[in-house]
Amino acid sequence: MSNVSRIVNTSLHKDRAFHLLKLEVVVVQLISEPNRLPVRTLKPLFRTSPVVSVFTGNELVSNLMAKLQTEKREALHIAGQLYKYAYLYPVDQSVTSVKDDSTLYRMQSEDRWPSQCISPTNLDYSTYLEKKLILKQKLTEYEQDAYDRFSVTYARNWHNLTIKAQEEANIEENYQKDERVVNQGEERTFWHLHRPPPGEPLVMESSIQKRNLNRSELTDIEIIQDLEIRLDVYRRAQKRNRVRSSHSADLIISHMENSSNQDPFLKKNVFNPWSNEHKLVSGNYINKFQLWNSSFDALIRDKSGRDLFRAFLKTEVSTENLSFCEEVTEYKMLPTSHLKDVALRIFKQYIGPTARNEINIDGKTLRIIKDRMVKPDRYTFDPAQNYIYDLMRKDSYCRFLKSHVYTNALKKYSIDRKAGRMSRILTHPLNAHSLHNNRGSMLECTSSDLNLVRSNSMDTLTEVDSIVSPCHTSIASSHTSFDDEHTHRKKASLYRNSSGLNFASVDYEDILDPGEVDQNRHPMNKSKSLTQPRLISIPVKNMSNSFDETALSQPAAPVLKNFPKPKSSKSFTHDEALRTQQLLTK
Amino acid sequence: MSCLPTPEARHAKEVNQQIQRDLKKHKKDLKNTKKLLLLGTGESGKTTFIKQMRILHGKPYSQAELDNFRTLVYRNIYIAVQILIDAMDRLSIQYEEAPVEAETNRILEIDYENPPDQLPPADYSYINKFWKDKGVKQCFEKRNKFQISDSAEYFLDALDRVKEDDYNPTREDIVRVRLKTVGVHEYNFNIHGQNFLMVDVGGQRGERRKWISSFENVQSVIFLTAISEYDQVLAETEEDDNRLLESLQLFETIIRYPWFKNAAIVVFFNKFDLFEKKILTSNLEEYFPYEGPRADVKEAKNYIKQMFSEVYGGRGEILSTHFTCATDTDAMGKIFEAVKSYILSQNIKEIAGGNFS
Repeated sequence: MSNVSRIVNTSLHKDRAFHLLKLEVVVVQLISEPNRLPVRTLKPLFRTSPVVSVFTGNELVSNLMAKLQTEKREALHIAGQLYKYAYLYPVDQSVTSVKDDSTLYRMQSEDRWPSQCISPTNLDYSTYLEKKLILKQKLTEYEQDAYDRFSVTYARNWHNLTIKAQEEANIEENYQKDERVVNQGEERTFWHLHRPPPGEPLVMESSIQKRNLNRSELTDIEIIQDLEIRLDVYRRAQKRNRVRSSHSADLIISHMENSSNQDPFLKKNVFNPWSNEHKLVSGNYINKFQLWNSSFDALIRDKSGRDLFRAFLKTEVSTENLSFCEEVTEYKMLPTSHLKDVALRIFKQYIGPTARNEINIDGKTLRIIKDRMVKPDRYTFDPAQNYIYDLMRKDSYCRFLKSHVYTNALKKYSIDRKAGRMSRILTHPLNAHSLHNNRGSMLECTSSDLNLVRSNSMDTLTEVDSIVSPCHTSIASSHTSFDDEHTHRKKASLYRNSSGLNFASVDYEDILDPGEVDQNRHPMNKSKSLTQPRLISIPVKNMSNSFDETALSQPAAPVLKNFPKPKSSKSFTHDEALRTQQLLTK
Repeated sequence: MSCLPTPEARHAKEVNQQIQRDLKKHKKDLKNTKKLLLLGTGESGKTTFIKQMRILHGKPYSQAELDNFRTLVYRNIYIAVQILIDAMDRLSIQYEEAPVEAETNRILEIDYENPPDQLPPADYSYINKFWKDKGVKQCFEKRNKFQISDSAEYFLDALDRVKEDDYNPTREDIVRVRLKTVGVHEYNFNIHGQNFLMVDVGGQRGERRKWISSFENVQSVIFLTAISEYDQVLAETEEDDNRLLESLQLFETIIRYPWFKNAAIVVFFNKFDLFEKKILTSNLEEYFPYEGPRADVKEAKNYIKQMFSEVYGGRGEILSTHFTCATDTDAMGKIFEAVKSYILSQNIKEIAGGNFS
């Protein structure tokens, strides 16, 4: 019974250790007198070599029944357990369980019991595999895989390993033939237990090792301390804020409702990256904009959204917030060895007294970070990151949705998306002609088209404005018929009256507008920044007296470079400009 | 080959002309627009000023914006309550009637970043009782010992109105909402025919290095200082730096910048309403070498004004100052009219002076 202490003191999980202990008691009983399990050597008729020290299944079961004074079912179960933990193994490799019949089994030798060797190393396993190869035995597929893997892993030790394997092979070659068969069977069974083939349960899998608390060995004080720690943990767990399940269910539902429009499995005509029908290049980015509009998280999670947001922050001189958040996110995924250096770098760059890109955190958060910097870990910057993230969401994001960086990008994509259709309308000779010589009919043409487009797009006016910019004065006066009367009448009249530039008078709409985005705004409103670089889209003669800010407010170029766009749109604008010009010069 | 220009060349020429025309126009507009910088330390009321301008001269707030402000009001309330609970603990002030600990913990754990659309009844009853507690009131009196927004009192007093289902933020609620500004923001206003490009900035120390990006072509600067901050310390550092002193130092730095040599500078001594109340209980001489009578609004305000005027004295002009309350829309409207005519007259003087010399 010396096994008891040995097993209990191993690193095995307590329950399994006792299980093995009980099984070993049974095995010891089986192979000891009186009424010992009959082990004999068989000499079958058609086989050349005898089969040594074997017993049959029904011998085992009946012996177990007699020894343990139990019924057959339980005896079979115990035999199954003995087989499972490799205290015995079938002579025929194809047998995978213990049956109450004449199948032959053999006992495992004591030095290969699982309790003797809890977790053999991969090095041992490699040695075994190498030895098999030396003895010219065939490796199974998974063994071959393991062998290949380990030969790379242990490439350095491989030489020593081969020597060891060679020695073992030599020993085994000196065995008698039946001894060798037994040895092979035992080894095979041993490694089958510890390195089972794929798909079979890993019986000896080591669990996350729990503290083996043997109370009798602890002093009273230690026990009390232990209990106090537990109590503290439970108390804190109780204090933790819980979200009611009904509330979280509501949140999930509202999230699903919001994002169902973007789900390619629920809605057709949504860009689906898994489907071949959609080409990546002409992705339906308008949906991305909807997503970004609805939530800041979605914007930040998306690479192109972040780039757009960064371009906006550049105009407000607060990019350091975004880059800080990004760097902290990256920092959290670094290998532990790098953490300290990177933490110092981040601290120097964003937080410290001489920081180049100082972030705007409050003194309380600063103190927490400084305390934590003594011993930086992955969560050192979390309070600051949360603070800055929230600052961006509450302050910058609201303005972002109103900014011309965002609205121009949105406009650009609606144009790209519809470019094909609009170009069909405009390139028609009749339409093109009437467009520039007869404003009335042009209005009819565009307004009907507008109404058509309006039903499935939110950005029609800006789109049409930029395409038919030569006639924007008349387009502008037609605004009232599509837009909300009271908000746009004033604007429209301003357009009509504007002989020159009067941008400032309407631009106050941009101020502190944290709510929805006014999608139908005339691009004129977006010409807020006087320093913004501008491009000319469709330069036309005779139009100098009318308002030409429209032609100027093209999307800021750097913002858009990350978005793919249909090739056709660019050439279309250019061709169209030439065509218009030719028409006018005639 | 003909000698006539090709269509491409003609096209290019036209593009060029167009650009030239636009540049000219652009320059003209730049001249007509007055660039007005709003500078000052954190929480001095710069964004509040912009909000007032929008209310006075901009379009009315839409319902969506109002909804957003409503959640911001709740956010302000939760932050204030959490800060107060924390302060009660740190200053070890006894509650008159201690609230249930579990409830306190629950309130402390509420994520104010995602405030609810409505104030839950349980939260309302807790906050209501909490705010009426004499211990909490006592704690609030010592608010210069910790960082709490100046509008906390306003919103906590308005709790009964705010919790209603059909609550819609009023004009005053909107200007009272506190939200930290980051970066540099430009707003266009047309005020009685005069274009203004107003630049709002974040005021904390780290934000100030960004200001320089908007210092060019500045015709006027409004420097805001929260006069009631004389007994408070900065929120952005751990050290106990006096806020008013910080503001004074910042003012000194700003007027020395070469960019503002010709700019009209106006100082707003903001949060004057709070100052009037505060000076009765908190002594100015504890923080500044002030020797006038105690609890005297007039003497104290003149003393602070004098400090700023002395700093400004180097420029050989009299400093234009106003005692303001940025949350009072009507008063702000009148003051801004005065400021506007001052700025315009200063600029005319500037142009005239330039011609004669």
